[in-house]
Amino acid sequence: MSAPAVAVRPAGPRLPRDRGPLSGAVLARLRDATGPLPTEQEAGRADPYGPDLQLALYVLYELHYRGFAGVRDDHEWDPALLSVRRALEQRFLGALRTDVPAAGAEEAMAALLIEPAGDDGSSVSHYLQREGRLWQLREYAALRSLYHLKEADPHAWVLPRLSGRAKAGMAAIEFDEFGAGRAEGIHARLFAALMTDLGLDTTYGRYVDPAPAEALATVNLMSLLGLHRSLRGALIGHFATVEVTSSPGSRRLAEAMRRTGAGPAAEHFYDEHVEADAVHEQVVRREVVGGLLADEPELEPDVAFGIGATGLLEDRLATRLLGAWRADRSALRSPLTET
Amino acid sequence: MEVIGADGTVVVSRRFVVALCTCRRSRSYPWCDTSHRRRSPPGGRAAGPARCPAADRAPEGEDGGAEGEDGGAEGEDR
Ligand code: FES
Ligand SMILES: [Fe+2]
Ligand SMILES: [Fe+2]
Repeated sequence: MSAPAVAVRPAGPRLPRDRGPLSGAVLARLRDATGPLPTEQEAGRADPYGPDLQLALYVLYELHYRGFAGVRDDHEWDPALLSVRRALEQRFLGALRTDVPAAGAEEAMAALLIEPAGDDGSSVSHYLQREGRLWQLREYAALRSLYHLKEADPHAWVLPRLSGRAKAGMAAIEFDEFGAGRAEGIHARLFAALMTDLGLDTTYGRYVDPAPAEALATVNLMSLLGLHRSLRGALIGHFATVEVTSSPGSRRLAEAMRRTGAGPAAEHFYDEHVEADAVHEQVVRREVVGGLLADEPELEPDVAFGIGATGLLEDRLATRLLGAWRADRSALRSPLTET
Repeated sequence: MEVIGADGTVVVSRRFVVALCTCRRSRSYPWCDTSHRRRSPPGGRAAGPARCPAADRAPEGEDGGAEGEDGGAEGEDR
C-alpha cells in the first residue's frame, strides 16, 4: 500500500478516556491499535443508556463532526468502525423505540405547547431560575457545551432530505442559528462567550470526560437522527421539541444568569434564545413539521417518536442533575476546578 | 424590519421573520416570547391543544398569540 494521502489531525479535540470495554476498544482502534472491535453480540448486551455504550457512540459520531487530534480523518468511513456504530445504534434506538410511548405527532406537539404554571420539581430551568447557584450554572453550561459548541450542526444533515416548505423553513431557522450571515452571531459562538463569562474552557470537546452518560445520550440522539435519512421524521420531531420548549426555558435560564451575576454574555445567550426561538417555534411547527407531513404523511409516527425520545432523554438528564444538586453534590463525573 | 408602537416608539429586528405579540403578555413586547401559552397546573398536563392563533391560523385578536409577518411563516401558509 502506498503512503496514505489521508490527513491525521495534528490538532483538534483530545480523545476522551474510556468507560468500559466497548468504548475502550473503539478508542484503541482510533489510536490505530490492532485489538478486536466489539462484536454485534457484545453491543447487543450492553446497557443502551449506560456510560460505555454512550461514550463509544459519542466518539464514533464525533468523527463526522470535528474528529480528534492524532486520529486519521478517514476513520469516519472505516467500514469496521461503521459496523460497530451500527450495532451500538441499533441497541440505543431499539431501547428508545421500546421506552417511548406511542403518540400522534399532533398530540405530542400539543403537549409541548402547554407551559406548566408552576414547577413540579422536575425541571432544571425552573430549579436554576429559583435557586441555582453559580457552580451549578457552570456545571450546566459545561454539560450543554457538548451540544452548544456545535449548535444546530446535527440538524443541518437533514436539509438534503427535505423539500419545499419543510426545506425552506428548516434552512431559514438554521441560517439564524448560524448567525444569519454574521460569524459573530453564530449561536455556538454566543455559547462560547457564555462559557468564558462562567470561567469555563471553550475548547471543543473539553467537557466530554466529566459528562455523565445521560448528557452524552441527549447529544447522541441528535447525531443518530441527523445521520440517518430513514430517521428524518424523528429528526424533525426532535428539532421541533428543542425549538418549541426553548423560549420559556431560556427565559428562566437568563434570569438565573442575571440573579447570579454570571455576566453579560451569559445573559445574552439565553435572552437571544427567548426571542429567536419564539420565531423558530412558529416556523418549525407550520413550515417544517407541517410541510414535511404534507409531503410525507406516513412519517407522522416518526415525528412523534422524535418528540418522545427527546423528552425521555431530557427527563433522564434532569433526574441526574437535580438528584445531585439537591444533595449538594456535583452532577459531573468529576467536579470542575475553580478558575 | 421596523415595528412602530402605538406610542410612536420604533423597534427594529433583523430576523428573517418576526413573531409579533398580539396577546400583550410578552415581556419582550412587541415580540412574542411565548407568554401566550396556555398553562397547566403544576404536575399535571392539561388536556387539549394549546391555543396559538397564528399557528392555528385563526384570525388575530381572538385570544392572543404570535403572528408571523413580513412574508414570513403566516403569509406562506395557505
Ligand atoms: S407572547 Fe404574546 S403572542 Fe406570544
Ligand atoms: Fe440557537
Ligand atoms: Fe432556535
